[in-house]
Amino acid sequence: MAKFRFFSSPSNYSPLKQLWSLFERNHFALVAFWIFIVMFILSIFGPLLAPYSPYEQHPEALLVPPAWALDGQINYLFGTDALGRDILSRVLSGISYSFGLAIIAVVLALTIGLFIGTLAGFSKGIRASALNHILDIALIMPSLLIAIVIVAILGPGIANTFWAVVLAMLPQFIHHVRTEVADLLNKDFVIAYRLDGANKFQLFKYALIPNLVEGLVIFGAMAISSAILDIVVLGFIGIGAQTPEPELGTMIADSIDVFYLSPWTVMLPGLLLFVCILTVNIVGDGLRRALKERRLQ
Amino acid sequence: MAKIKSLLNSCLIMLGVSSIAACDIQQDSGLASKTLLYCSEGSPESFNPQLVTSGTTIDAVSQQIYNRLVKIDSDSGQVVSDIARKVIVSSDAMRYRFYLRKGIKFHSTDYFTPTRDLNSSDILFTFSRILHSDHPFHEVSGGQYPFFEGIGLSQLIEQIIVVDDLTIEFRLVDPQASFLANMATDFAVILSAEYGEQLINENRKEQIDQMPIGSGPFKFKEYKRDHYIRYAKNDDYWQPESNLEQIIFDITPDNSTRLAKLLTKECDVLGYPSASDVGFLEKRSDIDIKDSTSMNVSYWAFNTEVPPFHNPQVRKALSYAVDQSAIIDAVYFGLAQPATSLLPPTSWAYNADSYVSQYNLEKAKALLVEAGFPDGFEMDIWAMPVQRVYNPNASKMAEILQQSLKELNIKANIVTYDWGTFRKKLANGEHDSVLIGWLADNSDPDNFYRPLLSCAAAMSGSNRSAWCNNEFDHNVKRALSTADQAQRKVFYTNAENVIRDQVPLVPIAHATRHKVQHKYISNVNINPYGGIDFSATQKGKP
Amino acid sequence: MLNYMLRKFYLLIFVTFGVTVFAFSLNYLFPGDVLTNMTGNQAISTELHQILIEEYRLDSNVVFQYFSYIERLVHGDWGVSFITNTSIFEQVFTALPATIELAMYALLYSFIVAIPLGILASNPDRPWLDKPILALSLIGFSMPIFWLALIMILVFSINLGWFPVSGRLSLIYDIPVSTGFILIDILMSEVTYKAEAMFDALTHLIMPTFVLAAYPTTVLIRTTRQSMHNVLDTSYVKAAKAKGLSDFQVLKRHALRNGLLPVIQMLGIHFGTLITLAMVTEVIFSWPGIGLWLVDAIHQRDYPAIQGGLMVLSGMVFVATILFDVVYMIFDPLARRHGHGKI
Repeated sequence: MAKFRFFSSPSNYSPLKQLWSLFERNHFALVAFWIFIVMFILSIFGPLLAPYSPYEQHPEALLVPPAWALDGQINYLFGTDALGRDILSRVLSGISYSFGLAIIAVVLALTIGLFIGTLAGFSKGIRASALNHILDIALIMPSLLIAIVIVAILGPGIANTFWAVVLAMLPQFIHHVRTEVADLLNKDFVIAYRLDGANKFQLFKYALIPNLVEGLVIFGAMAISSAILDIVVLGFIGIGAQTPEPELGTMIADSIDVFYLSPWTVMLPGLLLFVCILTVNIVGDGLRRALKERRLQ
Repeated sequence: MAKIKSLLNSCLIMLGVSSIAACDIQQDSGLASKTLLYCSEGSPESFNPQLVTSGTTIDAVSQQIYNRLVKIDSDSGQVVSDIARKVIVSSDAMRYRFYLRKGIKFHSTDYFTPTRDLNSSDILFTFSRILHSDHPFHEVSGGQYPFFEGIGLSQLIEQIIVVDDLTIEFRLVDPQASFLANMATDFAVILSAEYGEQLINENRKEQIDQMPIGSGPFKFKEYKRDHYIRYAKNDDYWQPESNLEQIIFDITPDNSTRLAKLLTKECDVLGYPSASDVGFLEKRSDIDIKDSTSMNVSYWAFNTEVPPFHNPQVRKALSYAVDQSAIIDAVYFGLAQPATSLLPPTSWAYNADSYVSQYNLEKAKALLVEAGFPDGFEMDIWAMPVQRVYNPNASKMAEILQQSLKELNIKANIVTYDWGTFRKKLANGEHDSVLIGWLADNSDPDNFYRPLLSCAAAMSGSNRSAWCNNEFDHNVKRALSTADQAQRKVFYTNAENVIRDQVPLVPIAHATRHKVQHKYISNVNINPYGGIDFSATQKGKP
Repeated sequence: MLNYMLRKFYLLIFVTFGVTVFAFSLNYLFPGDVLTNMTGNQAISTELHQILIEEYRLDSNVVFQYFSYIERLVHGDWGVSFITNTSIFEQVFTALPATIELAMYALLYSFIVAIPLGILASNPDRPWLDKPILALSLIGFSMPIFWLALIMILVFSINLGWFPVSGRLSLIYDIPVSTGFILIDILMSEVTYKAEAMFDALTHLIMPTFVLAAYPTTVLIRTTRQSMHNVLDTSYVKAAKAKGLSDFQVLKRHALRNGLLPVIQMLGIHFGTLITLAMVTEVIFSWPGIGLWLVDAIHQRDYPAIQGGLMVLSGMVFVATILFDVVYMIFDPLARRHGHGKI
């Protein structure tokens, strides 16, 4: 240490706060973050904002182009699909399916992964090594393939897709938490805390969690994009959400029939999907960079 | 395009393909210009049309592989010669003597080589298989011959007599005017007796319907279920040889992929464009879109055994609730004619001054009051679950009817099942009313009346109205046993009047069948009564 | 070295065991009768039922059933499909080469495009190149693959008419199947229209390859860029520069070899994802590979087919991952030191 400092002020902030202050400096990522927040709000309240029900058919207005096109109508802002359903309303509900559900799936998988991973981190010997091997194998399998396997067993549908995505993400979370916990347990401050007589729960709550949170947030943010992709790809190939559910991948697959005639039925949901994934990726990227910088400090 | 080709050339070299000769695009075998690619909508169930009724199979098989004794000229709709060069009908219309052409050869393929030309024994073999349950091939592939059972062939034919090698005579039990028309359908194809013998010896009888041998313009080469059928030119064809070396049925069930393939020239001809694409295709300059009113009708049939539909007044009232023009706009995208009778206007027996159905809810209401239903009732409308030429979307049609019936205080529920269950329940008469239709198998008007509304059909279940009317049956029967066309037309007009009066069903529309092809393709014939014919097709420069 | 190979071999056996146990258990996990799921025979008569139970050892415990299952797997008796009644084994191995072919070309393409771009992005002399290349890769990474494919079809097939939209060879050309790899088959065939068929096959390849390559390309750009950054920061590169070597010489002699090592490792990690993306690509372009076949089987609830397809796909992913790891090890002696048989 070059200079004696009486108050080590900046590093007194919690790791998350420090991460945030570094993240904030990246304006690009910040914009993405705000879009992310908007999307998140839309995924909760979107269906309430929708002008029509996503299932309601308007037989007098089939395949109406979006409002900005020459023969578009203002009451169907994004146009309508082949059955006269308002695309704006469908897309708004679609965000809750494809984006909102992905976030819930990630949070759920994180929570389960945190507990199993911590338990695994505490374990030693044969049990640990067996788990290691199984995790190693599960990790090679891409999450989408695992999800396909699970859906093949459970059968198609949005609920099964959700569980498939949760289960498919689980191995990576367990693996991540386990290695982190195993590392932390060897750290001096944890050993000291243990010697003070902390039980396992206290250890978990006061020593592990605060140090795990930051990594988990970043890991979770990265996982959201793959969760979204898994949900929409399953929907697209017809084994995820089923028509007429307004899931974005299912919607796109549904509208392929009229794609060449009315490209907006595919382009608009696709564009929204792209924006969702892009913002998630930019946010994740920004967080990761911020973390790297913080560790360098 | 040239730019891309050169780009591809360099790609080839980059990929390390050693033989640079492979990049020489100039060398052209001309195969592409002698191959016709047809994008079809589904896999055939069999390669023998005698066993099926589905249009997909007829399209894929009948005209390509086989010949018939006689055939229907697709322009005039008249029966003309095919394998039989001449037919002599006895004056009582009970004996039909066919004189066969000389020198017609069956296909030689790697699985069969014929040693003799087609003769009377092949005709006998073909029809014995259908008629006689003790024929070695009768039970092969299920033993069901739905078309021939439908027209009651086994009750009709008394005897088939081989007069000599090239002459064969059919003796009927009753005189029947539509016999020749039935022999000209795409179902009545001629198989090879010699091939049958070979298969009996090899103990592979079921192969007769899977690896077919016929005498038609093309011979079977390869079939991959759900992928493609490949036919090669029959070099020994007895008629002018085809200009094409091969025709390929690219089986593409998906509507949008089929359209995309047409646009990228992966198909030359498309059989059934979806109605919504027709407008889009019409704007393209490189594509020809031809429509032919095919012999079909879609209708709304009432189950006349179930009250209140046993009351003709109720049925008539409901017929006023059918808004034909709304249906034609929304369901057919304008690609259909409103039906004024069961027969389409292209039939010779069509009566031009048939009534024009009016959409008139006031009249409907008045009739319902008269019939004792001022407050309406509740009913089911069954909508068939599949898309057919005559009805692209029955559920949508049902929704439109539902809306009109609401005005009459009638609460209509739309009912549908999967196609198999639907037909079974329908045959059991579990419905109140049903939206369904009919595609004619031949040019004879009888094909519309007898299978749909006769008393016999009410027994067998194909009469969806379960309607049996003696006056109607009498007229149809008289028409059948009369040879004179003008006379027959009078009987059919009478029968049509009975329908109009009793309303067992409401004819709704005659859909237009579309055929879409690239401009460089010419002479594709679609028979209004059935399959697509490529024997005269020519392919120009794409 | 030998030790390392042995460890990998042990892992391979463990993985094979895992995959077969998994595939075997699918017979029980899928709905319906176990025997039907195993044989693919949907109408088993009572007499046949008894014979089959003995043959498949369903009367004994699970371990024996499993060994009997393995025996059948080895003999190529994978049951028959519910839908087509043809051998699953045969179907799987006709479809597999098409998938491998597509994945190989996509990988090759992404190598050719991504590595120069990654190196360019890492070049400290041209910092203005970094951001656009990164942005491009982020966009490519976030593009849902089926959406990209549909846009490509709309632009290049429908509007411009350059490329066909489905399959891997026009049905016009009848090429006998020998290896299952279409380009090789065409070269080996004895047909008169070789050149045309070759050209046609290439036009069919371009779009699926490009679409599938989007993901590995973006991943490789980022990996290459990062690892080049790291390598260029090392003292040996600085020393080489101080000695007066030109940028190109530094790149060629020092940076490239070391910078590309993580790329190989990355390929191994992402190979599984590549295969699942290949499935989606196959569905869109009707490419007759294992992915399209498997998705069809899932749609039709063809359980014996799903089971066979999943086993082969996951087996392929594992084997490829281990292979990439071995290749990585051959290039990087340091990697051999890392302890246990982790993949």
